[in-house]
Amino acid sequence: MATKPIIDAHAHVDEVDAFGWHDPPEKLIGLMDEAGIDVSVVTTYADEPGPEDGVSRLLEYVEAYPDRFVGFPRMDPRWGQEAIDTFERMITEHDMRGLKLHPVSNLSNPFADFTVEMLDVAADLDVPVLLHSGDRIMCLPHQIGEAADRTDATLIMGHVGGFFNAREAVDVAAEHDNVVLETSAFPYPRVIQEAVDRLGADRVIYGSDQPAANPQVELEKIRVLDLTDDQRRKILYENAAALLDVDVATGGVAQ
Amino acid sequence: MTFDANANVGPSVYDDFEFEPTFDALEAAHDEAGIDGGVVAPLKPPELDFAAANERLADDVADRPDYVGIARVDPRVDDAVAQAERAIDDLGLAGLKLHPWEESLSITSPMVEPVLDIAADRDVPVWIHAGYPGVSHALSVRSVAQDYPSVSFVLTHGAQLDISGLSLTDALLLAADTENTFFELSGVYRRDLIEDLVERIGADRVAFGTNAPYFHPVVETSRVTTAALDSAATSAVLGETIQSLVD
Repeated sequence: MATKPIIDAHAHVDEVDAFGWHDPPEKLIGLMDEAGIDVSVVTTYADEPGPEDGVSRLLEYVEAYPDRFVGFPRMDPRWGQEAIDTFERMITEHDMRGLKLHPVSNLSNPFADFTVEMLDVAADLDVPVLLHSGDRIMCLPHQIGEAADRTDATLIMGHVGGFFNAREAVDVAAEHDNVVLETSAFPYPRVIQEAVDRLGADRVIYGSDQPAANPQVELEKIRVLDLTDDQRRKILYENAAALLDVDVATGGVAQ
Repeated sequence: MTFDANANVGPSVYDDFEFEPTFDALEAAHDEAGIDGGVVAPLKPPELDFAAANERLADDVADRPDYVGIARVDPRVDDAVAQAERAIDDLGLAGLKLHPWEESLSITSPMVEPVLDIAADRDVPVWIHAGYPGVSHALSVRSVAQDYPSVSFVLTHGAQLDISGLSLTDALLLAADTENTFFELSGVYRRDLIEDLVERIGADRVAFGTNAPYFHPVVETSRVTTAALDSAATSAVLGETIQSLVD
């Protein structure tokens, strides 16, 4: 696939004993280089606030690779104003470009009032929110659709609803203009094709969930689709570049 | 040689993509992906009659030497044992497939045992669609595999189907605690699970599969070819493991 540059809208970097997952930045950079990925959105495995102190590590990682990583602090919205303050500080003082919420790890309903309050802060800051989706209560596509009804934030639905709820994710995106589908991990290229055909290539972005997932396999899911060059560029780069305010041609993360 | 450990042909009651999963369509998809053959089971047919579907499959594989047929059995039906016996003894199918998710029963249900007794008696492997929430979690499959140590079990999706990656520990525990289990890789987005399985239990218990017609054969092949495996392991996973099981 000749398309370059490539932004990966969903990657992880973290080293957490409690989870047994040790994915230092060098591992991610190696996989990105092998797959030809220029920039990755990175987030931790640990929520903040929380016992593993995710945000301080994320800052270290992003500052070590400022032209390759775009940070999304992964927050636990149950902490209310404390979480909101930390999130805001990461955006306004440390040039992070979005918010990550993983409703399975913090058992927070995506349309609960306290979650929507944080989504509204993301909207005010004009940054997108990457929401894990699929297969489990708290992150089903229609639950994310309920959140989309209650905020103006752009919600990136990670994994397109997962193994069991993929087509439902496309339906929800069709009903909500502020939902974008991110293609990592789920196994159905035909549903990505369906999403592009129904919603347009503007509403689909490539993600890999590396380093747990293999970014080359995830790129294969895009390569095998019946797409125009223009659609492919949007999915692999332009849509994410616009959401993140990133310009690889001028040296990575734009100011 | 690349050999698909998990292919399925229709007609299917779940054909909501309208992909018309015929055997000819499977062969064309395999050809395009460079896959030489595979183990094929019937999809759940619209009339819900696995006995008839198994007969159709036996006819289909009779003149296709690159393909091996296995029978689909629903342990809940009255004549499940008779269907399993006929599939192996009369139709010459090479194994049995159980799909606890589509049949809505736990793999640990007592209704499964008479079917597994047939597999043990006839010395044929059993495919289990594994890792599905509630019905075929890795540790439930472990108890079944331990109860039937003489039966080889091929577990689809690496015995975990979890987009949150929270069942990996359980799948690896199942792998470590049993010797009669084989891990098929369709839909396994976890690069680390593929590499960990090969490292911990050996490539001769890990097998490439596509879950055709649901997943994409080219993408599924790339899970193996882009993993950090040596050439011997890649070759085993792509075909030798499953071929040695059905030979």
